[in-house]
Amino acid sequence: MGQDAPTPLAISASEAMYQFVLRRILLSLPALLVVTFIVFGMIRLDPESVVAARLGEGYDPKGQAAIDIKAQYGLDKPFYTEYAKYLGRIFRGDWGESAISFKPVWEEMAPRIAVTVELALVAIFFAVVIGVPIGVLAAMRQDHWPDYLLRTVAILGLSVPGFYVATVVLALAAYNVGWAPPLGYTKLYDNPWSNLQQMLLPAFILSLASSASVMRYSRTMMLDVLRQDYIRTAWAKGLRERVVISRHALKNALLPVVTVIGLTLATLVGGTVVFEQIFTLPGLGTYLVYSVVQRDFAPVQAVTLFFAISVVTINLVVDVSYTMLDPRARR
Amino acid sequence: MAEAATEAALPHLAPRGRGSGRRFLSFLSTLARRKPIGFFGLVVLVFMVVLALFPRVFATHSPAEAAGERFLSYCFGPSDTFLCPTQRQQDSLLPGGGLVKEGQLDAPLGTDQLGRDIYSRMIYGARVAMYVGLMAVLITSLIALAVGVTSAYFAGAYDAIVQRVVDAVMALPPLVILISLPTLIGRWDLTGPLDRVPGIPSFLLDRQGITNFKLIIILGILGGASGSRVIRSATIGVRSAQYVDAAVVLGASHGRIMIRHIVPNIFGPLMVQATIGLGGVILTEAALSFLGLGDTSPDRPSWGQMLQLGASVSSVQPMQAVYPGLGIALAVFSFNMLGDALRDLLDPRLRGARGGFN
Repeated sequence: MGQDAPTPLAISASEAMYQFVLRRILLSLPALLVVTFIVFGMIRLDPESVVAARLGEGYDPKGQAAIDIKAQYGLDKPFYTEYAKYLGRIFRGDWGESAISFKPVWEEMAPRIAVTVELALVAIFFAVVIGVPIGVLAAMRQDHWPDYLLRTVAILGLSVPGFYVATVVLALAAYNVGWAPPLGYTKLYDNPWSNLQQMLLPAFILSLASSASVMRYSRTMMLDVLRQDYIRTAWAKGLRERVVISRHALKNALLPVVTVIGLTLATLVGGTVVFEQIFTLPGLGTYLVYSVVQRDFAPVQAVTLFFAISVVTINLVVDVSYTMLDPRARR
Repeated sequence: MAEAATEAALPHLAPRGRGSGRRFLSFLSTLARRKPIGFFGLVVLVFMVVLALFPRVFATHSPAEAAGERFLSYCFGPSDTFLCPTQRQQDSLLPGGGLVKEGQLDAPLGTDQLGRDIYSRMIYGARVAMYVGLMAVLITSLIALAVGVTSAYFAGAYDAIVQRVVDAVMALPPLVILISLPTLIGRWDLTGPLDRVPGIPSFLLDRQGITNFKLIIILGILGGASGSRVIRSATIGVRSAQYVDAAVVLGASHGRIMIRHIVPNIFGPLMVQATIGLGGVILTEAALSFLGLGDTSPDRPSWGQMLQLGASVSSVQPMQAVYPGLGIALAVFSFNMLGDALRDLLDPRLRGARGGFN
């Protein structure tokens, strides 16, 4: 044993971080497994409804058509063998086949994922650009009128449903200016400008609630940091406010905000469904609603699973990135 | 006199009912004094519960039928207003059932394109919002308590397994599940024994199709998962308290310790969770109905559904979409404010020196 051998107590910081990241990834695996089981089980809650959706309510439960459909969805076999098969199919990228278009669901989903992801990312961008500076400003002027005003606006933003704002904006625009969002969707790489025109308004309105929560959180974090000793030291050194805020306070205050941005992204997932519907964007949400109305269950399962997996992944990325960004969290 | 002295010296011997009633009143006055907006939220909550319980007292028409008979036979306001219309106005409302502008005839907010009185539908919309909201929050709280308290109390492997399931349920976006799941269980009839109770209001019954009852159960379970996290951490906070150790030493059973010693002490976080959850549930239900995928029975008008209906005629009658949106916004705002206020007052770390319900 040379003197260089590390003692077991002194694990290096990066090693501890890898251990944490690894543990965090392992912890999200069971969650993913349970999620797939829930989504898989949804369709088996009432097998007859699956058959009825295809054959109409007055079908013959003992007829060949009903038996065929049950066989197609694996409803005639025990759930554990079917669940294993389902998992296998998901890993191979076979997410089922639409009963309306007879195309593989994954083929129909793939172009729509881009739309939903773009909508969510632009919305998050707005939430950060609006929420963080306002939150910091409110904290700098705590308990003065800018703080009260901004907090009240934020609470209103949290309370007024986004789909209501969108409806009213569209109604007013149509009523007064005769403007309606362009029909038909242009892909980002076909014409970036006309694509952005379609995305900006829904993303902005979608982001209002998220901006409000990002703002409230940034404010709290900033207030917390501004009370710490090293900030008082910075003031005592005679530094200007701009320097104290931007060089000293912001870095520490905004780290936890990263977490909130991730969590907001996870809640935006549900919001995109409504907004795609209002602004007729061909995203996953529109696909989900269309499939539910058509009672086409393979896409319903696939989209639900995709959303749930996205949320698990986002939460994982948030936790890991937070650990990487904040040296204190590595211990 | 002697009683009062005993009560002061040994508070635990004081009669239970009187003391808690008085403490509740003092809590209310603290709320009104220190958190006026939160108190306003409470007032809105009580008002909406009253609307939900007695819609016929406030509504002037049936929410489901155009040109329906007025069912308000008594008056609440000056005559010749909508609160107490004259016979002539009663007869002239909506002969054919078309769009009526605001303030015309005796429809103060007008009627929708099917000729239904928007004012009355707003009242019944409050009933739907409160029914779905309160019931879902009740289920959420019960699940959160059962899962959160046991998970923190027993810890170990049980905790680890339960928390992974909670992780998974929390990963399901509520709106997405609410869109996809009800069609799959649409053929279920969950009414059960309620069906045989005579005189049960029809809105409580679950028939086939997408009903509020099914939405409540789904919302309750989804909310219960995230609620249980809060309850779990609150329980961890009190689990190692000395009074719990004392109860263990006295030989109390696990169930007794959890119900008599832990649950009363996490009542604060539970109330906060429930109040803020109430706003969220109302918002989610409205979004679902806005998409046209909620309970669409005409006698259970949801504000979200009214908003969708109003949006479709917004070029003719823009205000029709505004009222239901205001209803949703008022409810969500009030309950968020009430929840915030309760958190400030009930959270021991944030609580000031005076007041408090614990």
